[in-house]
Amino acid sequence: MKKFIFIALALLIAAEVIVLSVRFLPSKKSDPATTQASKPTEEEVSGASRVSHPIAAAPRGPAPNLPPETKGVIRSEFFGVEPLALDLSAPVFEQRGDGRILKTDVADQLKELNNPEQDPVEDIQILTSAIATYRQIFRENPIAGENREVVEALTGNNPYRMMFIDPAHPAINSSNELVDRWKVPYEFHPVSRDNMEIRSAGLDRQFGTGDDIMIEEPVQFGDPESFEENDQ
Amino acid sequence: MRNPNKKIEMSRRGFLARSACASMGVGGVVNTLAHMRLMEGALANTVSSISDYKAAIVLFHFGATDGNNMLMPGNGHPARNNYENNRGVLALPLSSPGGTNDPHPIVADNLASDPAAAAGAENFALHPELGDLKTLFDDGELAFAANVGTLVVPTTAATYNSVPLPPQLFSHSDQQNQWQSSIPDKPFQSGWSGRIADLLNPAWNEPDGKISMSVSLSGINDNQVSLLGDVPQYSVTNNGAISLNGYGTNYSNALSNASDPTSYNRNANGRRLKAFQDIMNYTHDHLFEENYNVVVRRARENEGFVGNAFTAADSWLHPSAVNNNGNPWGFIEGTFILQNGINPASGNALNNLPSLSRQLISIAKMIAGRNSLGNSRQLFFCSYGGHDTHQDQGGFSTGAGYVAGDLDDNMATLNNALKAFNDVMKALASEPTLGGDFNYNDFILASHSDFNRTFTPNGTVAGSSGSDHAWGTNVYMMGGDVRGKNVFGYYPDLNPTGTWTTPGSSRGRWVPSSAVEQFSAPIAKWLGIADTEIGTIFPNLERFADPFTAGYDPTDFDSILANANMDWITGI
Repeated sequence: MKKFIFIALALLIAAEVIVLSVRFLPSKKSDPATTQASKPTEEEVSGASRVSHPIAAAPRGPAPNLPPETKGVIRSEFFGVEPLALDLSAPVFEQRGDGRILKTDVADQLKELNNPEQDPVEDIQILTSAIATYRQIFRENPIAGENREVVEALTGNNPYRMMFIDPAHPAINSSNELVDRWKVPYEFHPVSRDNMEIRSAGLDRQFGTGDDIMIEEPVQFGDPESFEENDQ
Repeated sequence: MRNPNKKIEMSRRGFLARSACASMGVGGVVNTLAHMRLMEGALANTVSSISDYKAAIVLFHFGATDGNNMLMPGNGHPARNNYENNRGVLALPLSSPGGTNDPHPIVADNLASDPAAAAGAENFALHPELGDLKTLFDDGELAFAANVGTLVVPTTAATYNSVPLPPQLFSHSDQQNQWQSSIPDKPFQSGWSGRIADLLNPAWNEPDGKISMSVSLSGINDNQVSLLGDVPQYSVTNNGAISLNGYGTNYSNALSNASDPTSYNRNANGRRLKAFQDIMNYTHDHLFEENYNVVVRRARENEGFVGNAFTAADSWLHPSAVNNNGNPWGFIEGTFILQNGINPASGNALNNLPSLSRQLISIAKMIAGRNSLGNSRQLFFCSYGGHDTHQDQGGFSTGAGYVAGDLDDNMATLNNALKAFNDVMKALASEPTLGGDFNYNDFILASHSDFNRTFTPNGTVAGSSGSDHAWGTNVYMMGGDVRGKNVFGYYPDLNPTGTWTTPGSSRGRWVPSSAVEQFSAPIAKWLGIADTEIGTIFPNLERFADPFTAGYDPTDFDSILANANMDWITGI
């Protein structure tokens, strides 16, 4: 009986170690749990879904304030969690001369940001998706208490120096903030490491009023039923 | 089935906790803690009565209070000009037309007598809704600690980009978790109160008996999570213990005497409860089945203990507060009702109290009825939310005048709850029956908050504007052993682009000059944790300056980091 209990305990320990290893050890190739949620579709990898939009094609002014050199500080290192292992030679990663890497599929989606032909809630949806992709790669949201810090994280201030949005995107103002179609900076509200609420002040350009726009829960693309305007 | 008296040498939960900790590299802490606990237990005498009682209460401001307006620079304070020039519509004038919303000036004795402090550094002001806290402060029963926050290592604005920082700064849930664990650079395993309970429970509290040392009025929390798993949190509601459903209030449909769990009524409810309890009294070889029954049995036992404590406390009647039936309120409830400005004769006086007052009523009852709970060391956790004032914080502008907002409501709630609780504790010390050997200095209440809020506002309209997520914040401490009428730590210069704020930001996000563990360690020591064991409770404390030193040189960060100025409890 005692022998049986000993064997059972040994198996339990082994199972525990395996579970913790899967959870905490850096992924060699990819994290299966994360990959399932973040695996780019074939269309995304090939770039076939890229679209051209008047905003993206519009003449651009001088480049806004670029983020500082990456600080090389990734807070997740304390938890033994490293960024998702990526094949940076894949088509969705475009090497830039300054050492940064543009994630083209997300950048292409963000070209639609503030497109006047689409519903404003879709802007929030696009940003939410971009933040979700950042989180899937770096295992946590951008460390950001301010809009500016979100922009810095999305334009290269991260361990891979990866850009998710073109720093010259017209939605980034001269203060390096992402603004909505009414030129008011979005409010990024870090609730937790995996939940970043994003709010637009809406047409009246005042936060806390009835026309504020936000998504209650993170959603995936193609699920328009999952978001609504905040009438609070 | 097996002998109910036979002890399980190691529970599955305990085993998992130990194996998980070991596999994650914190086995050393666990082993040290377990070893020390055994030593404490071996040294302890058999606990037969409640003596040398001490209760520590953590009050968490969920959502992050604007500490900049809870404790603001007063007239002549060196940071006052920055406050008035940079806080925009959130800046509250020290005097305004009519004077009905003026902040309350206070003077910190420790800074007034410190030759190193800048001229005027002792002059502060409390939020206009904190009038009673000014009285407590002036009476030496309340103190503040300035600019406390989560830190991995001593950090300044100059080193912000080069030293490890707490993960997910500015994120609500992460910072709440890190305040409660005080180990921001490790995956969460336990709270600092939970580790204190691991160490002190066997030495100070009745073995295997009565209520848990860790009681929460705010549901399950991180602060009281035990590392060893030996001291579970016990949740109590504003109405007392959580009883089984379906038997009426306090089992009135099933028991003839709520305090006697075997006084079954001769009806279906009584028979059903008896049958259920009989089943729960069986023991099982299967660990899950056995632990399920143990949980239920302990819950029923705890209900009785808490019920007895509440019953004892309720026998203490208020001299003037009379309810709608013409009967006197209990002293504790009556004190809170009157302090909150509620008519005690109204039918729903108790239910109209804010949740924070209701929670502190329950805590006060458990302290008053402590002899029913069996613990000489008791830890309480309570909280209130609604502090995330991105909008509608309230403020002032020349055109609009003083515009009250959510912060005003929160400060009024806090003011009334703390004042009433303090009044009850002082009265309890002299109450002939329940007071016993309880002294006013047998409790300490200390606040926590996710973080501070940005110094600069996020709008220009007084009232509707608010503030955003920041870092180092101001917290308070109350109790007889608190070195009251002082402001500990170091108050920032309030320059939103200066040397106290995170680089690159112009919002005023103060880099904490004191870590959570420097602020909390005095509580552990006050409860009885030996100097040699403080590092077990706060494993990162050794990275920081000894909290029990003092000094003040606001222009020298090296001096600040070397002098914690956190010795805020007397007699330890």
